[in-house]
Amino acid sequence: MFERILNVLWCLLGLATMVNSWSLGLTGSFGPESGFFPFICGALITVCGLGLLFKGSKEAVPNPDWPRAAALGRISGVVAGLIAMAATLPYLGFAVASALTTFVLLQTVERSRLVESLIITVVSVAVVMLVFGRLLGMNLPRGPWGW
Amino acid sequence: MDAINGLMMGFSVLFTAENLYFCLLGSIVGTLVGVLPGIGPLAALALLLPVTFQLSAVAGLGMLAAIFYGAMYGGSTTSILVNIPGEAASVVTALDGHAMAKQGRAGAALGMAAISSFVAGTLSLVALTFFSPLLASVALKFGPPENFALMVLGLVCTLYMIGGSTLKGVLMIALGFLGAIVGMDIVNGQDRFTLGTVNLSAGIEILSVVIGLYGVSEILMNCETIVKNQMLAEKIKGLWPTFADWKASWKPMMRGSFLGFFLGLVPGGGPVTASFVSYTLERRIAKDPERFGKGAIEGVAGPEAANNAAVSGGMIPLFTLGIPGNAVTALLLGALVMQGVQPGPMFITQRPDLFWGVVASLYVGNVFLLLLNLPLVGLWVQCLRIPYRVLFPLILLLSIVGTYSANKNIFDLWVMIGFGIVGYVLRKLQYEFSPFLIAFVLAPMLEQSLRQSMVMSPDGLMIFAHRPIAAVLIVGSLILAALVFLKRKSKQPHGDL
Repeated sequence: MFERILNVLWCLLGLATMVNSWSLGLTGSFGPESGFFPFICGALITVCGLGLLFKGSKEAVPNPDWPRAAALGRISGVVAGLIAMAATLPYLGFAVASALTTFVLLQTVERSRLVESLIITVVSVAVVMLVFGRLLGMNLPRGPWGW
Repeated sequence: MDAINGLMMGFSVLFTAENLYFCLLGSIVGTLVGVLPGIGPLAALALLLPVTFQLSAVAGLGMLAAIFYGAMYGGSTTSILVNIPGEAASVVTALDGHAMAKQGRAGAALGMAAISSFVAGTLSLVALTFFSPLLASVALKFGPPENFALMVLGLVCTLYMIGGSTLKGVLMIALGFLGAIVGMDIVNGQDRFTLGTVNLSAGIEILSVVIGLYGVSEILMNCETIVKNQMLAEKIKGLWPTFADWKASWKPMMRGSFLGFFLGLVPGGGPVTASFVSYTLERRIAKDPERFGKGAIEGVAGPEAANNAAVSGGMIPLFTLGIPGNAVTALLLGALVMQGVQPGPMFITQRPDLFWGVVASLYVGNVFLLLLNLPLVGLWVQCLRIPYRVLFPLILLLSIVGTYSANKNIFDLWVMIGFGIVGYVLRKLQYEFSPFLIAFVLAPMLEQSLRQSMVMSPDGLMIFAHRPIAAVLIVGSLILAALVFLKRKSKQPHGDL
């Protein structure tokens, strides 16, 4: 079922690409315009989407191994952690945002012990900051406190 | 400049403390990645790609290539000792390698795997040294129509070699093109598919795509289950193979080297395909094929030689034609472009220092890997003790820092997370990412070649028929495309991520 919905989405994406490409212009006096190449891509996506849709069970994965209960919780936790980190990074800076995310993920997703989580968090953040911030001279985002 | 002089210049470029240090670092990281089952070589390459921005091109490329080589070496260690392939190209090594370990011959299997890898790696590098300038001189005759036709052939070859659904493969190529088109059209400044946001005007950052698809989606896959590492209790001894082992292995080693090199050359081929084909060949020509799977040393020597030789083979189309044959070389192409270098027919003549420096680093990396893998095998086995929960935060933070480092733009992180989630779903539905990545990297060149060809031509698409090389390549592509759709899946795994 999920794969069918995805195949419909491919068709819609392909059609939308073709319509948008058409508005960009396909050919002009000097050959292909901006829309020519994307139009071909859109057409390919639509044809493949239709092919996958109509070939149905021949192309579909018989029983996709979707995560259940605990596994789904762990995956959702990691995604939530990544989203939280991307959202807080500009405000809290790399050190604090990454430490908070890592600690929370270790406690919730990996279910590590408190002391172990603290140690892994401090070491991981310190290693990344040392390697990227100091050794490679990369400017990592800083929080209002200057680090 | 002939190949020998070029290589000598390459060694003179390479022999600086910085270059050698990063070559050694790449070898160590690659071996570690190969040993640890929680992270694959592509994810590691994607995560460490941003590190190369801060390095010279030779050091950066040398390090990335060493990671890939190292993963091939390290992957065999866990295949043989604990029957867990650290990466896909070592899956077949586990069949006979682990059987040898159970018979108390782990040392001989490890020794032969490392020696085969070294011999094949060196032989294929010699071929790369002499073959690349020749191919580049031929490719100098190529204009936009030939380049376009060659890239089309490369993409069709990729489709031919992938496992799974062909339709999904074509779809991934089209999506890769579409992803790369997003942004401002460099010819006329028109915005394409930017959804009105400034963040997309410069296009989708390749690092966000690669780290999302390979890094984040792999983290999500690993999170499904708690990765438990296994240890081998017994001590490893007798790493040097016996005379009988040598006698049984040298021919498979040579065949594997030859086969791997040529399969590496073909777009879509690569270490995984090479190792499977080599194993099948050895079993088929063996006088007593029933020994295979029960500890035949030929089943270790052939595939290990083939997967290492394929790595060097894959570098030739990348450096001489600017065409990546698999996901790893697509990543290396991305790294070169980020360094402001465009590989292709002119690459060797315009940047001989870089080309020969990278080739020299491959030779040195191969020696580093032999030294790291034979005497220090016990140390790598100890690395299996590292629990995944220690690696997991590091991989996660590397994903964030790596993506952010490209443009210092938080928007790239959102793109990475998006590609990570989509990548996870597509992995579950058995979509392959290598056609996507190759198309994503090739799209700008492909579109430019097509446009230039059309501008050159008074007869539109007929230019591809009027130019003999382009015509042959297009006809070849059409025949291969027809074969792709006629071919039903063979039972042999082909997929090469």
